[in-house]
Amino acid sequence: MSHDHDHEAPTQALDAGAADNAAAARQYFRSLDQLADTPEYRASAEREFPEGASEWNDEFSRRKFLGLVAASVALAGLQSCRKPFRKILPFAAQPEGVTPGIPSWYATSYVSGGYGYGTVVRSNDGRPTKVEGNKLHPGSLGAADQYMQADVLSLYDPARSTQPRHKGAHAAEGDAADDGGHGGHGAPIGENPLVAAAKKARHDLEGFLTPHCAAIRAKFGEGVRFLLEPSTSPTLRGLIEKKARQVLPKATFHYFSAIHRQQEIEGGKIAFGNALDTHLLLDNADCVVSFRVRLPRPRDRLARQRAPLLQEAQDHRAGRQRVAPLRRRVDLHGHRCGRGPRFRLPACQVADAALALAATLFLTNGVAFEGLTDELKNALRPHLEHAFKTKKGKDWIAVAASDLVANRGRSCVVAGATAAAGRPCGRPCDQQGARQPGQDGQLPADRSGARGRPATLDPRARCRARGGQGRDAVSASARTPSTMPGRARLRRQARERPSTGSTSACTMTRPRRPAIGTSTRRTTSRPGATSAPTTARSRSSSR
Amino acid sequence: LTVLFQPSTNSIPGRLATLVVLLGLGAVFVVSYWFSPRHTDVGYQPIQPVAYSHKLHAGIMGMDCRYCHQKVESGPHATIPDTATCMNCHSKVLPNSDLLKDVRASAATSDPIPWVKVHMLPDFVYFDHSIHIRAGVGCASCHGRIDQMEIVRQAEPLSMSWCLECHRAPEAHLRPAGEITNMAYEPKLEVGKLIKDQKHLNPPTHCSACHR
Repeated sequence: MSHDHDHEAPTQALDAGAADNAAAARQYFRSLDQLADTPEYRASAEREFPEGASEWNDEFSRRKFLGLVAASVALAGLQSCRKPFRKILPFAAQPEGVTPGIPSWYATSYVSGGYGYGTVVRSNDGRPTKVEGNKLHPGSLGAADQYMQADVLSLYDPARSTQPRHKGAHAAEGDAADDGGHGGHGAPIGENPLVAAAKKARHDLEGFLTPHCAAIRAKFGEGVRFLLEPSTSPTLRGLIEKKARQVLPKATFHYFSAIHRQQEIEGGKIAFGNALDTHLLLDNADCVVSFRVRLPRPRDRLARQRAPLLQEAQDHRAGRQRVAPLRRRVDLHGHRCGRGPRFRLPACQVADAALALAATLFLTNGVAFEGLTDELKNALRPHLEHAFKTKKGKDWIAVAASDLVANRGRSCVVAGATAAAGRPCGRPCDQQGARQPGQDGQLPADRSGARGRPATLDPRARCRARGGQGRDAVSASARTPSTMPGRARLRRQARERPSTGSTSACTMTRPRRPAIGTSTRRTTSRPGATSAPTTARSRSSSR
Repeated sequence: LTVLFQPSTNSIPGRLATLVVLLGLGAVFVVSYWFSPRHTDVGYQPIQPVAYSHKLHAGIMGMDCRYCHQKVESGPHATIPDTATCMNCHSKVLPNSDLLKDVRASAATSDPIPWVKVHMLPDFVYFDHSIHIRAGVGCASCHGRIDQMEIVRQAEPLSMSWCLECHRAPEAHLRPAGEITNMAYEPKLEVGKLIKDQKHLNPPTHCSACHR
């Protein structure tokens, strides 16, 4: 039952309230109907139940109904006494090499940032459950990083589209639902319904595109945008360059990938003057300092030996290897690094630590290299007085610097993506203005309390918590390399090259295969958010 | 003054106690007998969608179990054969029989035949056919005389105590490798002991052997 609400009513009530005494003004109403006080409202409010609700006019008596309900409840448990009825649905035609209950392993590839990485996927009775690296593939050498491992979930992603969609809906959706698994209506008997659906989807897509195609061509693709993932596929590149761009010169191609390596590539440009992939030969290194990189990455040479990894290298080199990862979180690598110290920092201070280390190296320890200009020295000078005043922090910088010096020519500095020095690392920090130099890097929890704010509200504490899963943590550096065929040869060359060569003994570089879209890819990082200069210079120091 | 309680009431507590004890024993018997897999599961004989006769194929014609149950030696499941296996023969034998209507339909449409599962283990139990076959446990030890069954029925309880009985003393159920699919073979204790020694069999009886 609805009434036309009198829009004036509340105003009138307020006026009346203002005119009357305060008690009358505090008369609240529960609904606009009550306020309007229409006769219909009165009639309904005076009844306890709505009309007809309290009478039982059915043929059934109330008593009988309750009796039936009670009996149903009492007998409901008996349902469980039945033996379960299960079916076995064998294949109509058993595929070869399939044994039900025995998992199969498929060699396939995982594509990220345009590069394919060889993987082996375990499939239990047709359900993929585990992704591992392919030992025979030079890209992964049997190792799988966290993205590869997690990629299995994408196969079960309900949002994953298996067919072309039109305005958000599957083109063939309605028909597929009608089929009920008995093959498509139009499909010949025996055809796989999925194949039939895919064919139909393609047919529908063509049906949708054909009328538009002429108009699009006439305008040379103006207003048409293609959204693609970065790819190194020569076929796709050929299709785009030789066909699409010829026919539709005005169309725009956008490339986007949520996980990218832009920072690493930019860093390589600064260090080597060219967009390069770095492949660390960690077994050549006696001292490794890493900033926010979990080493070895799958493409690095030590990836070959997986679990005992750095321990082995240590034993082999009689304890000369020292790994000093500077990471925000405890990780396996940190634990593996034997006597090398581990130093935890919030993401926004890692770059500071890198600069402090660089300043210590070049100014205190007197390491020199070609590109070390006075300008650079002056730029580094303020960082000599770094913010890491705790014993652990000072120790770490000092130990890392002295180790790098001691192992000159046999050391390696690796940097992952992180906020550049002098830039706040995250939104909460941004609001605070900037990090506060002069304070130690350890961020003890009680300091926020000392400022009279609850610890959870400390913006940097939040920043630290966020970084663990945020974009910064999935830095651009944890990817495996491409399937470059000449890689093994390059690696051999790098091994034979004397360590005083143009690159560090521990770093092998090779021309980066031009990825489609590298130039146009829009990164999600903040501008300048790279610690690459630090990488390059520290690395040069080890020559 | 009337006597409220006659002397005979003195015996009521005793009688009650006896009754309770008897009822309790009765309940234990009822549950242990009628609620056990020996009663609830043995003899389960569902009607299959296709009137396939093991008696005819395995018994009278003497086909080996593994012609159809191919993966029994290599995988955890004995595997119900695919329709193509049926059609190996039945494209020539009785090609137009009304009994095989559903089989032909399955072969034509690629839709599986919905066989009804007879031997059901709970989901929390792991069982592997191949390991038992390799150890020398015959088909008939668990499935009974399938070769005499027109419609397959469950012959053994497949309960945990039944499994453990054999896992604790497997000698009585072992047979030589050549007799695994021989339904008529009667396992002999001496032979079983010999096989157990030869194959160094030590069936596990700890929980996680099956409940993994």
